Amino acid sequence: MAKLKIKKIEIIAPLNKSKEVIDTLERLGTVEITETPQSEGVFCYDTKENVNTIIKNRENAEKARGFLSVYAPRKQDMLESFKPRKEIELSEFYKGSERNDEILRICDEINSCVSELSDIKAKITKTETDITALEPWAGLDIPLGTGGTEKTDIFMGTLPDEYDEEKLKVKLAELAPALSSYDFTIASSLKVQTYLAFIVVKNERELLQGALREIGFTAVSFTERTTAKEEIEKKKKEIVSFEQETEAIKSKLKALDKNRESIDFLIDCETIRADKYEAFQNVGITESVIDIKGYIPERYAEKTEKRLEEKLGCAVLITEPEEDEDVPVALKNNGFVAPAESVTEMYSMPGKHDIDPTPVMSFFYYCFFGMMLSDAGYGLLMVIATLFVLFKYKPEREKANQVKMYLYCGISTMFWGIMYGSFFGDIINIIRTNFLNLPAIRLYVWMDQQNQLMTSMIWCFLFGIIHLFTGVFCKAITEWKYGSKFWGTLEPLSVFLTVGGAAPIALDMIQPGVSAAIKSWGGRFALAGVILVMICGARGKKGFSIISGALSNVYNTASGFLSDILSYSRLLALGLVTGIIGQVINMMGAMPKNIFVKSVSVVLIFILGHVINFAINIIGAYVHTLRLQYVEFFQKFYEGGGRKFSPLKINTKGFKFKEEQ
Amino acid sequence: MEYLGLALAVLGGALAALLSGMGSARGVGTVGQAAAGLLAEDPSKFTKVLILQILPGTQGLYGFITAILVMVKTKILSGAPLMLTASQGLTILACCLPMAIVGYFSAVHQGKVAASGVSVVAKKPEQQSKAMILAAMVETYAVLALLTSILLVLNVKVG
Repeated sequence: MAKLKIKKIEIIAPLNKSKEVIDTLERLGTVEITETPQSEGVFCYDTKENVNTIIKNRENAEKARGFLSVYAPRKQDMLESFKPRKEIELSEFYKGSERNDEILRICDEINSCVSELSDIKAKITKTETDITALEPWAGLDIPLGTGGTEKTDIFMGTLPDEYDEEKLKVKLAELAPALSSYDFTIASSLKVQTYLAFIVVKNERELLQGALREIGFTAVSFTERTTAKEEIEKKKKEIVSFEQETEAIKSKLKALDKNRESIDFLIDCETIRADKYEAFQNVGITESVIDIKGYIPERYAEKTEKRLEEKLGCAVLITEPEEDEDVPVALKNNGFVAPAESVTEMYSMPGKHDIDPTPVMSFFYYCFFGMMLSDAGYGLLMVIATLFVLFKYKPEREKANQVKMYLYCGISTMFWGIMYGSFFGDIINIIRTNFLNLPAIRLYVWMDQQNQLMTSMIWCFLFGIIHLFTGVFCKAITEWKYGSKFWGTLEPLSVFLTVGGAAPIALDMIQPGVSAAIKSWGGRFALAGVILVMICGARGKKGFSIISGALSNVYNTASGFLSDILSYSRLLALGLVTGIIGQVINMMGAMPKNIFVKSVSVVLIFILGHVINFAINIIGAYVHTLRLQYVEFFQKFYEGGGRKFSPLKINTKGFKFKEEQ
Repeated sequence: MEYLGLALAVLGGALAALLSGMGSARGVGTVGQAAAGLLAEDPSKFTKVLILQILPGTQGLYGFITAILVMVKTKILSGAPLMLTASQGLTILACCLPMAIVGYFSAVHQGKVAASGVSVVAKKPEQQSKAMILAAMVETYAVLALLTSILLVLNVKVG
């Protein structure tokens, strides 16, 4: 349980067996390889370039894989990722990897198909813009690029504002009375713009253009030797052919989709190779042997040693790590505790002088989560959903742990829901009073939080004290294990006495009725505790600072514990929130008077409202439970700062190797 | 003036819902803007940033609960509200202030922290929970304010 004992391992293997040794280590997944320092005769092989090439291949494959799911979508099970990886034999793996080069080429093909598609898409957009620009000229029956004849000039352009033939003629006569031999055709006219073509004898061209400029004429020039109509037709045909091309490429992509599994396999293979090459950087190489140094959990040492020595003829040396070495940390816990390992890990792995806090923390984690979500209905949903995933998909260990965490939290939520009498709010009583004409019944088993506010708050503080005391007790264990037994006893004792003694007195202030005997004994305990706290505060101090240390320790302990304990009021607040909102949802549903409308509204508002309430409160319960662990509990004893044990192992998504005999 | 007491009590409930709601809207909005920037680059992080975005939304909910409690207390929902005296009404108004005021400011600040958390998700998506914890630290004070308001509203003697 808890922290695994880690040993140092050194493996000397014949150079010609180096590939096999690394492969075996990767499949065993038990050794974290550390750097072998270079010295005379020992060098390290720089594999950065190989790793980069492999990663680039993998990225290409991943890109292609992503395109396949866009262009050849398959119906996918949403919970697919919970399925365990396929087990394959080593021989299957080698056989499968023979096709990898071919698959890599297919990936390139897929990627180039997709870039072709986007090229075509850009071309279509451009052609469409061209068509839009040509459309106003569709009314002209001369080729667009016509420049004129021997004696005349033809030019086209636009005028701001709307013109008809008469209006423009009048306007031009005003502006240039000398103008005589010209004509024009209005191709089209909009409110804001008029498109026209002019024909004019060459010697009057300047005159006409000058007049036109005054009313804001802009010339437009074309090069096409066809009419706008013909040009538009041509472009439309182009678009059709582009679309055909797109369809062809898309169906080609669909056809390539049959390689999807092989691409997944390729991605996994490249991951394995990349990891291997990266690890190989740290291996020392001489003329005839390789030297691998690393760490291994003791429980795997024997098996690994046997495999390497017997099958591959390596020399394996397993030793205790030095005191000052940066030894990685690995955790191992039972099925109830292991799901909460991720919570510890998120904070920090246990340091050298820490115990693994997960076993104690997991219990409180599940418990507090339940107290904050505190609705039997929501808990039931969580339990059903998680059990469904666990039994239907049988996820592998890590994924299963994620699911199990919610299972345990769900069970706890159900428990506290029953204790506080909340099942989808008060839906039971709503149905009884509104539809069955029965009187409301008592729903809670232990306590009605809304009507016994003070009592339930005091209980929350009590749970807080238990949680904090457990933390202090863990500090004692840590001190006994790694530090001084004397202080390891005295410090926790001082806290237990002070806080434990002061608690009944404080309780009496909030809710009078604590017996005088308990109070007076509490006072004595607290006093004794304070003296011990002062002694502990003076630990390691000299001279005047003994007094200041002692006093400040009293202040820190008192104020620290007071604010920590008050922080547990969130257990009440978040529990109340779930309950009250649940009831409000049910109440809103039951508002209509007509029994038919009422039943419809109860059902609709029930579903919508409780989905929202569940979603919001599950997040609240999650973060506030974490906070209680990290800020209140861990501060009492936990240092963290450990480095996670990360062995060279198979990091695949789609398959895993069958256990080798 | 016979309704003055009731009006004051309603004003209290309304302020709680109003200010907390405003704060949450601002907070959720701030995170939403930051999140949209990230989603433009990487849409796959949607669920992660969505959770961050929801965090400053709880204050609005707490304010709403406070308002509901005032409605229950004054029996407004039953259709026959209590005739409160002006001082009773003023007391209930005062009870709502912690949630109203703290709700507003904590939501705005939580929004800022959560918005910065979005950049944590952008660079290190696996550290999302830490970003959540940072934002949840701010919420502590909203929780305490809610508790204060609930305790006060439920324990004040009226009618």
